[in-house]
Amino acid sequence: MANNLKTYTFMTVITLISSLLLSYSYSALKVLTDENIKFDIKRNIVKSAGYNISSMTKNEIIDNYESNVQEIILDSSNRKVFDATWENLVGVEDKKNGLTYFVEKKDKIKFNLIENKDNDSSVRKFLPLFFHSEKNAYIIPISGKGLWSTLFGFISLGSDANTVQGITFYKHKETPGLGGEVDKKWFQDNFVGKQIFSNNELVSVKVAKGKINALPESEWSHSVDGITGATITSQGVTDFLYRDLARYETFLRDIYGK
Amino acid sequence: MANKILSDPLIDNNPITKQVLGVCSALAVTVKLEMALVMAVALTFVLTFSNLTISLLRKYIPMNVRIIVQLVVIATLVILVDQVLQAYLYDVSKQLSVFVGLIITNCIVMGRADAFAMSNTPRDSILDGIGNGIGYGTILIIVSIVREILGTGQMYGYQLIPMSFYLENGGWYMNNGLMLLAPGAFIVLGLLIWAQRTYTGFVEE
Repeated sequence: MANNLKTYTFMTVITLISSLLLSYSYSALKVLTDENIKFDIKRNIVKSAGYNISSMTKNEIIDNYESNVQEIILDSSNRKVFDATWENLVGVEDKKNGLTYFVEKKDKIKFNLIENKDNDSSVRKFLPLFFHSEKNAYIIPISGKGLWSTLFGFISLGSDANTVQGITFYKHKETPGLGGEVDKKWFQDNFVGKQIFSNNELVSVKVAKGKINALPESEWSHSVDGITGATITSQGVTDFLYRDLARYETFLRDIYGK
Repeated sequence: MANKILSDPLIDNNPITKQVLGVCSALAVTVKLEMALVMAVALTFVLTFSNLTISLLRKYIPMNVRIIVQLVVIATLVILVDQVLQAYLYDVSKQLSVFVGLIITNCIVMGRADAFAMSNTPRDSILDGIGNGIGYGTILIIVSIVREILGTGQMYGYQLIPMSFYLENGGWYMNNGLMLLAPGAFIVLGLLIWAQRTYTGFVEE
């Protein structure tokens, strides 16, 4: 009994010290980490617009972002709103399907507790997107489940709101070498020039199983080569790409129709 | 004695080539020298301080939960390293992705904590941690230099092989893509183990 007590006391003390130490270091480093994440998002917006960011310095990227990128905020029915800014929004992920809802920062805690996020109307939900004036690109945030984790990224569409100009993923925890290949240039380059509308219908871009050469030629402009050994990640990308583009469909169709 | 503790893991008892521990991360993070360097530093830091902490506590740790205690100490240090990397070296931490977190399960750290630090003085344990960290790091750096040069023609991100040598620029040279994949690391590692065992004359029983 005395022995057990010693074990319990020891474990309590050591876990307490460990958790105090980590919460201290987390809050001490949070400012720096947040800044890094913010910059990473800006960098990926610029990247998806079609720039080679590896040859740009940090300042060039920030300059490029600040002088070219317009932040556009829509409400759930795709009407432009002017009383919310990207700075004030925060993404809340629905853990069930990896869908990201954008709400105002003050609503974050309240919204997190809501069970059925999709049908909820007590919190204002927004759909942010970005317009890059030099590349004439509309940049839309995408997110959804892969195999192990939620992937976050951006897809950019040309001025016709139809042709893909670039895609990028900036956060995920997929297996390096398998699902992690979504980071790679070969995979992302394959999206460039694909089209999301077919005969005036939103079809998005599918990640094929294997090479797209095996598909009928009519589908080539709406699909890209899959990743060997990462069927579930590929399927995940296909699913959430369509789902997220569909949320912006009314807005995109307006431009596409012109 | 002290010198022996420090130098033994470098060649004679190297954690990777002799004990064959921590091979998983040795394959994964050696595509580029920069990642290998950060990983080597991170692991040496974790190993040294986990050895020190375990050694200081060794008389108080209840034997029936010692593995859990070791894990708590190691996990705390690894999360600390991860947080520091995210704050100061964000890009590197993204490239290392899951492998920083996987230091927790790196056999070298647990192995040294249980086999050495539990029964030796703090001073010796620190030396053992540094020695094993450097032993691991040395192999990582050698493997990554070979892989980066052969796989991408670069060294620490700088182009080493002149661009005009390349086939696409009218030359005759091509990067070896195999070196960028895990099998490439296996081959380099195998050659290293061969070289080392020829040198030390060690034979597996």
